[in-house]
Amino acid sequence: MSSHDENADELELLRQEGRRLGMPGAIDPASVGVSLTTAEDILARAKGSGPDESAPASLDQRRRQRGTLAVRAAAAVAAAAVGILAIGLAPWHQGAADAIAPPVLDYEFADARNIAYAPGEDARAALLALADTAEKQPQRSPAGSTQLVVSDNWFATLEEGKPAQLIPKQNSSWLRKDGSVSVREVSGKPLSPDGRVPPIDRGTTGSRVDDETYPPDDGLDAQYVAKLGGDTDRVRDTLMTTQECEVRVVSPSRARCLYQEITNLFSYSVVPPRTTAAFWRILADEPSVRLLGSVKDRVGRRGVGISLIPANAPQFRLVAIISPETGQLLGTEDIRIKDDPTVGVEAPAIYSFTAILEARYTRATGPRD
Amino acid sequence: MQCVVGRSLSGLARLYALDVGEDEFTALFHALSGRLFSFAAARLSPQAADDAVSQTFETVWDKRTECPSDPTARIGWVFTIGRYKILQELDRRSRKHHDQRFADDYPSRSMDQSDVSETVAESDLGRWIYGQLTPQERDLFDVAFMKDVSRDEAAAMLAISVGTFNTRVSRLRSRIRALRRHAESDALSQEGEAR
Repeated sequence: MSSHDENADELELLRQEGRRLGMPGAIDPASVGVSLTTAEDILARAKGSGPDESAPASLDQRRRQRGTLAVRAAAAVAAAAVGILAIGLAPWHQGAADAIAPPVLDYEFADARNIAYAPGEDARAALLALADTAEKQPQRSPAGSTQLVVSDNWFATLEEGKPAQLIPKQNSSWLRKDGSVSVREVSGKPLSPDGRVPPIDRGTTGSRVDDETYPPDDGLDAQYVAKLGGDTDRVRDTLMTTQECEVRVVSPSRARCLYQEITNLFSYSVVPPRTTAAFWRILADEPSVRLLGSVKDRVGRRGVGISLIPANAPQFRLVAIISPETGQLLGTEDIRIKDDPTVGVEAPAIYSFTAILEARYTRATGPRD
Repeated sequence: MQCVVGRSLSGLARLYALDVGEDEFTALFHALSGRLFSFAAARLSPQAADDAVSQTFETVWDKRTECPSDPTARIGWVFTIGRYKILQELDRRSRKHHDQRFADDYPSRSMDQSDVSETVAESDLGRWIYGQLTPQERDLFDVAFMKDVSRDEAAAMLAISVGTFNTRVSRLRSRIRALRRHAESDALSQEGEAR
């Protein structure tokens, strides 16, 4: 008997035992005099109580919208495609022309063979050391008021039942002082995931350039990150409120929520050193964040990998790579650690990665529509 | 279900966010509301359980762009929201209880807190054993007892890995057996004393 069968039997035996002992079973609403609210009622209520789009957003609403805008800002340049998932490929380490599969990076405590289950190590000490490193970095005077973040990415469009297309992209975002943001995405030519891969053609022949601009009144506060400060507890509270974390005590759920917000902020903001330090101290308090150890990132920089497996999406392992030299985030990787038969992906597979190439203030305001 | 995944600056949202339409929302509600009610009603009054289910699905609708595309992860996502709503309600009732102590309002509260397990447990022994379980063991037991729930789904509902779920099921069986033995030996000694 396989262990799967044994486990299934254990569950069935538990059920049988519970029934035999007369333990409480499922509770049917009708049996306790309840007629459940219907989905239609909930939808009607949700629509009826929706915010008035024409009314100016309150501060709290604007804060809530900030995250949404961040999503929309980038989604704007992603075609409103059906079933877009992100898959990464590593054109930098190997000849892009003969890249076949996205390789999992070799971390000190995990590699492609065991990334799905490698436990890693306690990340607390490493994260605190990275926080100290970040805090020691000089706070440079901004050269301008626009926050420019440039990243290299490889994405794929995946549609159920259709072959995937891998598309190399370079993203640049300009977050202006007034809260408006422009996103430019330069896409290379699509290719088959197992086909030959031409090197990314940055903005020249054969590339597609998408520009999208969001107005200042869309809820994004350009100074949000700059104003976070360096007090760990205060920063954590602010992040949890902004991200509406469902669980606010130490837990895998809270770790996932904070990780998501922190990595999200790096993707379009210039994060000051002391705030970066607070971010790593926040994650140091989350035991579910594990240390994968030293690694060379997609652009050959020295990094330290930290990782978590979200409780609500255990098929993924999320990795952030942090520079041991500056304490700044170098990039993120999303690794599928369970097979995904619907799109023909065998684990482990890099679903996406982002390598942050630049994050600085500039006088340039970027493209506008 | 057709996935509509909005790519975003947020890697996680990019990974598995769905845009759930009304039909999909309704289907999700029909698939999970009964299970969630059963789970909630073991902890709250039936009316409060109904409220918790409603609030859960209101949040599901509000956060529909974050709904996981993976069916099992989707169940876990809904239940994570649901368990949070139940905790909120328990917390609210605990605070209300505290306030009501000063208002000398115990009777109304105790009526609201009727123990539904008494109406669904089929024996005193079963009820007693259930009453001895820790909150975590009750969570596991209630989810394991849901109709047609698979191990993967049950693990997702509890936000634990399948391996952990299996281990806990095995441990729970041992615990229930030990409680039964304890109850039976107590009954025997009481019979002996009676003689």
